[in-house]
Amino acid sequence: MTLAAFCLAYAGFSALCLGMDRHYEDLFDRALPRRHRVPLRVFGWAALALSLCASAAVWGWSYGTVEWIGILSIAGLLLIWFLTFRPRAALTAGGLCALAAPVLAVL
Amino acid sequence: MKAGKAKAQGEEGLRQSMSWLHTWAGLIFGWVLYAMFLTGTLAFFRPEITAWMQPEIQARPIPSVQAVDLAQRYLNEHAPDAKRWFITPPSNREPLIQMLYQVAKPKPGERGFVRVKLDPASGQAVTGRETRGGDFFYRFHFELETAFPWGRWLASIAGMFMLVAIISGIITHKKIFTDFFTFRPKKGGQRAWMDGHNVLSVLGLPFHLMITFSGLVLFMVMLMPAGIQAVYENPRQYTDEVFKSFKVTPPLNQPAPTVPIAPLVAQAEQHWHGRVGRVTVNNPGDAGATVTLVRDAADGVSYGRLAPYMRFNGVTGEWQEGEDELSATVQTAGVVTGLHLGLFAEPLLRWFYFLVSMAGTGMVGTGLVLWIAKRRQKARPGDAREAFSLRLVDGLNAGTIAGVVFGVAAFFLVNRLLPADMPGRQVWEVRAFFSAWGLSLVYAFLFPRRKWQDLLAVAAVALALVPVVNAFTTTRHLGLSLPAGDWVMAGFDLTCLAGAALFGWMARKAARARKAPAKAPARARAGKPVAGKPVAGQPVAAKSVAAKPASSHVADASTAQAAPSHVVYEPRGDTP
Repeated sequence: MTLAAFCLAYAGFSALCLGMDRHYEDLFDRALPRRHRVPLRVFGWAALALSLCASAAVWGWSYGTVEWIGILSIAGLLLIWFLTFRPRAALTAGGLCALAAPVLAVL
Repeated sequence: MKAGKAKAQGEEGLRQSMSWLHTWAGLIFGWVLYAMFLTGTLAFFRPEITAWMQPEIQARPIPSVQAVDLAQRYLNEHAPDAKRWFITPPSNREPLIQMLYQVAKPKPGERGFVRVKLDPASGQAVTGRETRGGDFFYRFHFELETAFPWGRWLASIAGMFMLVAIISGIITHKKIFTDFFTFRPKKGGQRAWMDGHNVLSVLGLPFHLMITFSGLVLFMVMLMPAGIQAVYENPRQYTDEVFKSFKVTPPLNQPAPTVPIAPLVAQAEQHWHGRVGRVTVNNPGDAGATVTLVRDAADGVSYGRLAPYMRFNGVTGEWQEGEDELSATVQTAGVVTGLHLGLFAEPLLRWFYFLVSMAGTGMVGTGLVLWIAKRRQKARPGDAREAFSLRLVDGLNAGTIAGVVFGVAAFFLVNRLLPADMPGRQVWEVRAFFSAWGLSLVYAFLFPRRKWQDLLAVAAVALALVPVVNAFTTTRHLGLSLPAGDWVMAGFDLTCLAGAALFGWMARKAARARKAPAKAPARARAGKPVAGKPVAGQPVAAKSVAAKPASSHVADASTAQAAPSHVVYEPRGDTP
């Protein structure tokens, strides 16, 4: 479940990152279409919120919130690091995380 | 329209002044803050570091009830006349039973505290090699090895500057959200350092703000005593009321046997459904004895300094007073200080603390380097005063950023290399730390061109040597600790290796940047010109500067600090 929280945070950040013009252009070499922007951002914020819920489900709200902030910082730094050197792989990993999160949450 | 323009100018003015504040507030105490951040980061693993530094001590924790029984037996025998006993039952992190007692008649000029550690298996006192272990980093973090209370004041002032730097930095940062994921090391020079500094600061911002603010709150009583002086007659009254578990109860001066403590511990643990973290006995062996039990700090986020407690009569074992539910105020203060200490954190969260705190150390380090990168770009050639300040700050930067890490490695190496039974060896460990740091500073000023690559390499090699020397001097090296699942020893060695890899990589970057500055522009141009692209939702004013293509030379990220003479910087960036 903690791993699910981490995957959700990483997937959420990936979606938010892809929902920004600069990063979308870097990756696909074309402008970000409007019809992609809103779903990406909605998904991103929803994943971050779910990540908080997942963390709170394991640790309780007081400890879980602290843990979640830690997860966010680490997931974000990891994504940025990865994005700098392997942008495609970084966002593919984001997609995989989004798929893995529900599986990990159930396990 | 005009009003809008005036407002925009006002905002720019605020940003400019905040940028100035950020630059100077960050610089003045930057080196102290770097050392404080790094040692504070290490202090999250205080007991683990102590365990590594006393490899001859191997113990397994036992339940608190038995441990307290052993401790009481030992203290009855060795310190029956003590004024106070403190017992810390063993935990997974600290497997020894730790005791502290205050002798009745201390030698003049001493406070008379004696510290003993018991092996839970034998009930006998254990003595490892003399070392300050993780406590050194913990204390250095807020006392800077300076006499009480000056070190604490200095650390607090530095912390205040840190808080000012963080807040002014947030105001100055124009595009927290737009630049959230932006890191462009290929752009080189100031831009790359700026990106790196922003990423490390923004991603860790909740932690950085929390740790800086709560650090000041921990010294609240020292820093802002006016409120306490207004309400209480003396500071003792205040501490007795707020930190009730530490209250000193007076003796009755009639001998009476002290009640067995272990059953009281069992009772408290059952009541709390949690662990007892500390046992305090006031006036043991006296009719006025009291036994105070405090809940373990690991049991709750807010229990770091202010935890539930119970007090019993020390002769009859009768319950006297206690608190299970702390008031909202106490709990708020408890959360703020508890978050700083991080004693509640499970291993995973502890590693998060460690890593994000490392990012904070990186934030201070990149900020210091950025000062040079920005300054150099604006410097007029032949300005002697400017050249002097650049050389001074750059030297202090190299000597501190690499030097403190070298010092930490030297501290660990000397722990293994000095004979284990040498008297006063703990003093030499600390001397090694400061000598290594000091030598790094001297080297940085003697060899201004080579300083970065050499000092970073020295730090890397010293860190890499720690597990090697450990392998030659103990039987708890990686080859054995890994298969045995001895994660304290293995984790320590592996972290040193990871640190060595990081500093080795930085040293290589610095060396390359110094040796081949001419090749750098070609490489930088190959990268995508990200900043040149128009970005939606971004103020036009901010764009105009950034949109200019980078000037003729854009150096590799590390060139900025390693090779002053070869670098011509890109125009002043869009973010201050």
